[in-house]
Amino acid sequence: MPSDGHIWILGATGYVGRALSVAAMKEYPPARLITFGHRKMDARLMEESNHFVCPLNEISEGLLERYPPKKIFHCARMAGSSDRKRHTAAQKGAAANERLIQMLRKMKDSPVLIYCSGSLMYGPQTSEANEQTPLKPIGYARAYLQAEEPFLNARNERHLDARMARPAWILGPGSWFHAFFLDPAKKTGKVPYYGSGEQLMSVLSLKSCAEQLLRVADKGAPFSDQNLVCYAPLTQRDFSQILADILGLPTIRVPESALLKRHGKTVTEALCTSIPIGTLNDDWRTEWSREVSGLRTDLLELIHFDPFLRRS
Amino acid sequence: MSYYEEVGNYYDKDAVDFEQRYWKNPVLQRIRQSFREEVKQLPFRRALEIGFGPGFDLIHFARIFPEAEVCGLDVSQEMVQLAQQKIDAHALANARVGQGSVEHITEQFPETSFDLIYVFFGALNTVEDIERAFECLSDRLEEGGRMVLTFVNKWYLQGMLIELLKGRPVQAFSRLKKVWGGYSPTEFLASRCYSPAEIGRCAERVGLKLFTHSGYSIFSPAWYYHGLNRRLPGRLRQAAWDLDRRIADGPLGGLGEYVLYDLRKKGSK
Repeated sequence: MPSDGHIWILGATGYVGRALSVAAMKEYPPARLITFGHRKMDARLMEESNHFVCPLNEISEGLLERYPPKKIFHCARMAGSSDRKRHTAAQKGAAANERLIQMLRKMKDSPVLIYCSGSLMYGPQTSEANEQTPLKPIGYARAYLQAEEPFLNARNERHLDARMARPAWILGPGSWFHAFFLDPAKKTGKVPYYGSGEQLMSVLSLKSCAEQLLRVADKGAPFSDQNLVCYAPLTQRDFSQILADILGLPTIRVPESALLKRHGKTVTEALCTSIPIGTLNDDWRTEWSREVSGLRTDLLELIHFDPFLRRS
Repeated sequence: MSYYEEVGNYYDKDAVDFEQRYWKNPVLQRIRQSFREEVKQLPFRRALEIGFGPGFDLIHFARIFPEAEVCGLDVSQEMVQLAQQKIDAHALANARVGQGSVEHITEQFPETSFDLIYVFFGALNTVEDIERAFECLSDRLEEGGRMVLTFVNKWYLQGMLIELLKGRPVQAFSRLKKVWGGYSPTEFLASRCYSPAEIGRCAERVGLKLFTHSGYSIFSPAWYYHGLNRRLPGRLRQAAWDLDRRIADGPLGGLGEYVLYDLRKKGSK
């Protein structure tokens, strides 16, 4: 068994989990990296890490004994495609998380757990939300708060060093960026912004998110919240404008009512609420630029890998 | 030409695009992952793999368990070369491979005993004498050691039904014959399929205790039904896999395409 303990990644085949696993492979040898996925098969994880296909609620005590974790990265937030399904998923997630906590409490040396949450937990803000800002979840986060409550409680009672990581909007292939910005731009020839366009948004790349999650385990304070940010907040209209400049397209405003009609309340809240994110923990984050020029580079990189746009 | 030379030649040819075909087959990947998880449940110090092919599992286990030693035997010279190249590429000091079949363990790894022996994807379906193979394996297995063996199963019910529906009764019952020609429709490989009862008897004869047996591809289509696997909607494929895993250890498990046997030697951990 590795003397430094094992690194567990739960939800390793998911969107953030996979990026985190790839980043972790650069830092940890395959002998230390235990990745958990559910259903989706991922050849790279299967070969480059000690991989298990196992839902969160079925992780056994035997595995904890066999591969005792020193750090657990929890990216296994159960998702749903509608409000009702999200609530059901959150209930299941809460039960699975509670079960995990009970198992971890029996360990002689309980690990650090980094839970990958989201910044929608902060709700509407007039100035940058930092780690001391009270939670007022909106959109998808309303349901998902229930799933993370067991960790918040375990942390408050000092049973577990659970660190809640709250990434800003994560910019990566196949994310909200594609669904609400790039795909409509490809389809209509105009880059949309939603509502007034004045709402502030904070963005970070998927790669930065993964790297920062790894740092939270090493450098984040015990029992803390950690906002994961990269660039200074910008208005959604400015974000769309940067994208439009890259693509050589005009922008178009999509009224809130149209968004509501098409996608419903949850999506509208998520896209039209101003949630600028900042952090009180800037000390270990110097390696990530906060210059908006970096955002342009990230966008260019994303577009470069988009097969449709590469063709055109 | 001896039987093992024939088998070796078959896999020498097969080695050319073996890995390419494997990476295109998600069903095989999923089954392999499940086999691996069985092995990884318990710790081991020295493992032996029979029929490692291009070294997928041998290399993987050597990498994730650097404190353990992983040895392997394969009848195909080409496969041994492929695995050795990977061992060199990863600079694995804890992996050793040699050419031969189950009867050559002592020759290739003299005075070496193992606390884990595993065989994935039915390498023991191509041995001259299965009882003798069990003797050889049991002989090198330490007291308290474990064997995880997978076999191409004789009573693959779904396969029989599919072949009958296709109007191919010979293929439907080919596994029940004394000699089965292997998976390839064009290349004959003399091999033999075994039922759980036969494996149970072989194990008992050499003092191994059958801990569990677990079936694969009971309801979900076997890895070689490419068209069926492609046409089935993802959700249905997943549901069939989930159902298989739920019933795998029960009596229906003995009707799968593969069956995995978890055998322990006296004084088990």
